[in-house]
Amino acid sequence: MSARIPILKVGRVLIVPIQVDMDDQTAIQLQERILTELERTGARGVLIDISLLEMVDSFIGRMLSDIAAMSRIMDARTVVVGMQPAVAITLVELGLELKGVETVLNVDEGFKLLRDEFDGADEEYAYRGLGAIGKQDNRT
Amino acid sequence: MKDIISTRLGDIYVRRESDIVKVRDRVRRLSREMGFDSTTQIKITTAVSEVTRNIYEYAKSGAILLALAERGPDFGLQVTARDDGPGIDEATLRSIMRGHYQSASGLGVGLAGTRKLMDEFDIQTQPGEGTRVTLIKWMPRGLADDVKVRIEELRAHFGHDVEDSAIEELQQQNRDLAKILAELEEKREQLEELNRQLQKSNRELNEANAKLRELAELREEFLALTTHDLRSPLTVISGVISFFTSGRLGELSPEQKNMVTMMERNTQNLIELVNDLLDASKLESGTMRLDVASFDLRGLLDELREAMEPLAKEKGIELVETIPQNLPQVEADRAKIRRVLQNLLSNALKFTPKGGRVEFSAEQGNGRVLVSVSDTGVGIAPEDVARLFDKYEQARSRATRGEKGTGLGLYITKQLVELHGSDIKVESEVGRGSTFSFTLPSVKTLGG
Repeated sequence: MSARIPILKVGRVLIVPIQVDMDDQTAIQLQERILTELERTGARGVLIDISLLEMVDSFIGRMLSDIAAMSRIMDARTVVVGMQPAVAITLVELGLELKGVETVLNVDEGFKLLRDEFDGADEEYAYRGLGAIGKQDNRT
Repeated sequence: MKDIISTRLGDIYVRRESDIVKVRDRVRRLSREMGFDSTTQIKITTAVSEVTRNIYEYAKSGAILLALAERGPDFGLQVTARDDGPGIDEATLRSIMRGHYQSASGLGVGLAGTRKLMDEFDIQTQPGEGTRVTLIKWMPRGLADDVKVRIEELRAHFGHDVEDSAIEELQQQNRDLAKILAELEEKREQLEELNRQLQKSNRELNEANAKLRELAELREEFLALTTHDLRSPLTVISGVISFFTSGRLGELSPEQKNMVTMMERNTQNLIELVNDLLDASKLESGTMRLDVASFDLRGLLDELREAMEPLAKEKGIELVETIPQNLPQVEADRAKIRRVLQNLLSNALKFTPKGGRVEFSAEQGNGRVLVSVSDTGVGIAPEDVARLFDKYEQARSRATRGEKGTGLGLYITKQLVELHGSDIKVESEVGRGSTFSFTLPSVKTLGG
């Protein structure tokens, strides 16, 4: 019954609109499919739209973190966009940190962020990527 | 959770991963229907998602129980996650609730985070006993009354999943069956073990039996040999004595005659004693064989009278016989019946005082001949009658002490009568006399 979540490529960005509540299996498959698409298309950014997702629990939270970490290793930057305020409140109360996941308000902002990145110097991106890893290490 | 009244709305069973999504969807719709605001809906759904995943992950199956909670003026949504999984030990539970525990799949916030998202949180668990997590989210006071009114509607929409409960029922039955099968298997093994033990003890019993048989045979052999060895010299002595009494060795002086007579009587007693012992041992071992033939009781009685007459005369006892003219012949072992009657008659003479009367009678009836020996002797007390036929009874009994005999007589008599398919009956009254009777099969008269 797992609904297949589309992965669209626009420029050098993969857009992943999650529009339904996923079961765990679908979430794991999505993770694999994003990585496969990154390799196949050479995309440099992943934009995950969760504006329709009404719930992010610890499992889905971890999945988002994992996608971000794996994409980074594949030389791509992940941005999660459109998180509902209520979901954000819940995440905070739940005590869930989306480690290594960048979030922006909407798809437009996300796109802008990613495109700026590629239009600018690749070196800078690499530096910021390393910085993000370093920051994560300090936290743990 | 104290003072909380729960009204059940329905259950959702958790067996597959997809059931987690199902639970989330149902809880989200239920919380929306109840009137929780959207942020709270998401909090409840997220919290329930956490506990549901725990069920699937740690116990493989369980259930989410939905209920309406009521405490004083407050109403709320109560969600209970129940499983029969391995449970959680105390130390781990403490670590989980402090948020220190790192599970393999989540981000280490599961139960601790869930507690923060809900108003009430309760966990009951023990290793091996499963886990039960209860969560409650209270509603804003203004909305509560509406929920109470709509409880039936809510139940209809979000209550029991019929299909699910049927499957759950079947699975429960399957589990029960598997359990019963396991128990049966165990019982079967126990039975087999029991069987093996029984077979073992059977073998041991057989061996013991064989040994006992061997011992019995040895004893028989010993008795037969001993008796034979005793009898042979007695026969010789008895023969020698008859030389003296016959006068072939010359006339004896009156004193010598007296002594020889004493010897003869005692030798005769000794021979009878040895015969009794031999018979008793044969009867006991079941080796006594009957040599059945037709014979006339009258002839047998004549022989016996000849032997008894001297003693009767000596004691002045009248010997009477009542035998009808048309008495048929009997079918029995003549020698054995002779012993029986000899025993009964000599007993009667022995225990009847001077001037008494001993009567032998026989009559026909029912295809058998009833034989009885009555006397006017001392009689037997009722409490002694039952023990009368016990082996060596006379040796124990005070009443007959001083009379000679081994006490084997009546024992042998009873056994011999029983071998003929009858039973010996005793009627007796102390001071009035006794009657011993038994039956023998009669020969069918031709045309009768």
